[in-house]
Amino acid sequence: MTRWDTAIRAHSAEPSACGGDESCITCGDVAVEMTVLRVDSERRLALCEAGGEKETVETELVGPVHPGDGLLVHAGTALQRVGPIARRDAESLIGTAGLDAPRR
Amino acid sequence: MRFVDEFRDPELGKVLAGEILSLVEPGRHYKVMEVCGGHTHSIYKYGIDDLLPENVELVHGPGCPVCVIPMGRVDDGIAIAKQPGVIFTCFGDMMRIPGSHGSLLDAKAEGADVRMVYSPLDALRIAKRNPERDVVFFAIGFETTAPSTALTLKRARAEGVPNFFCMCNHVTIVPPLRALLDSPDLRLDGFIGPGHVSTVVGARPFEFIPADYGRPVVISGFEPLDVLQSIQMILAQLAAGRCEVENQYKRVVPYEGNLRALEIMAEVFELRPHFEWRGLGFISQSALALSEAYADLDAERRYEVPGVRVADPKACQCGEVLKGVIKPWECKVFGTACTPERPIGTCMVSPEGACAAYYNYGRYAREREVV
Repeated sequence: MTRWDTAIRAHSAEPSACGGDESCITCGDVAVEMTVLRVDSERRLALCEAGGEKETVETELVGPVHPGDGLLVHAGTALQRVGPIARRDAESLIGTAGLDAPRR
Repeated sequence: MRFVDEFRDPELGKVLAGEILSLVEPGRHYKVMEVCGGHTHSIYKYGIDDLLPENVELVHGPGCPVCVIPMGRVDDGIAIAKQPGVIFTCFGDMMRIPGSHGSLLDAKAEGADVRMVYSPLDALRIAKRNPERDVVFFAIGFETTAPSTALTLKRARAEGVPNFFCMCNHVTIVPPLRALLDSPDLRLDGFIGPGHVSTVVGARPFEFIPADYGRPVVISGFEPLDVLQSIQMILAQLAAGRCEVENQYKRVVPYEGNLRALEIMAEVFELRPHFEWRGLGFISQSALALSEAYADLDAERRYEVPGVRVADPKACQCGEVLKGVIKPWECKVFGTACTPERPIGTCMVSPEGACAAYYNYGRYAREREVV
């Protein structure tokens, strides 16, 4: 079995100094995609969720958000929006490598 | 997660690996640096190095913020943490980075009130709940993390929280890349650019690499197919004699970055004239301090810190690893005296550190090869 297979199969049981599969927020270049659940537009905060974990997120950098929006979050701050456009980009990016569209 | 599974398909990975193989020139050795620790982590985790031709070498770069923190800054943080009444907050990995007389975790064991937080906003929340105590946030990270600290400082001021302070260790990505490109130790053919730093700064700051040094850069995502495709794009540029900044991670990285984030960072921070990087020495204008407008929130002005430069342990070769001059397993103490459980060097602490990533994933494959 390759490391790639192992990584996909053992996502929840791998060694990590900061717990869990996703990379540590301490490393400055890692962010997580989260979904907006509730919005406090006055304070520019949103309650967001990813993988069952909830977190209060600063939304100042991405403008007004609404429940259901996808945000790329790092260290409690939304850095960019992610959504249907991102999906289209993902497919077209794979297309540029001469590959078939993702199988979903 | 949405939009992620597509980028983990091993069959597509094999197709991309085939494309990479068709692009390499036999007899030529390619050295490609992945700048960011997140990419190093993906490479070892998914075994991307196993899918590449032998003459394509991946060199690990300096893009792991806890790995580049020098011991003297850890000592300064511990000095503040030991002040009476202080609650000292930092990200989890930072607690385990060794200073000259132990880590923040050791200081906690000795009685200092050191608490792990997941975001600066968590630290601000602690400050609001403990109005009688000073709460200091030990800020680290590249431009990905700096906006979060900046927004929290602005919020502390707007909400009138008088007991929140920041010890700022934010660093910037371009100066160390320039230092590496100027280094005679290393000859690189191209760069896998840092994806999430680029969500903030955009792709434009990396244009100096093709313009001044004639090397291609591809801003990359972090899933295994992202990294493989970025390598393919770099090799395609080299094969075609092109040299430019390309953006593989368009799904989240706009070429111009996040202008609002850059605006807020410019308000809250200013460039330090010099900052010490582990293994790279002092680099001009490579780190951020709080601006005069936020000086009253600066923990380094509120508390006296030693500010002493401390040499790295002699046995530790993190500097060479961070510069990509040696591989993790070539360090004398790798996996013996230095392990993730008992790290001597910073690269063994964070999962994004090249040594920890290799220790956790890569060594198994190498052990098989040796056998």
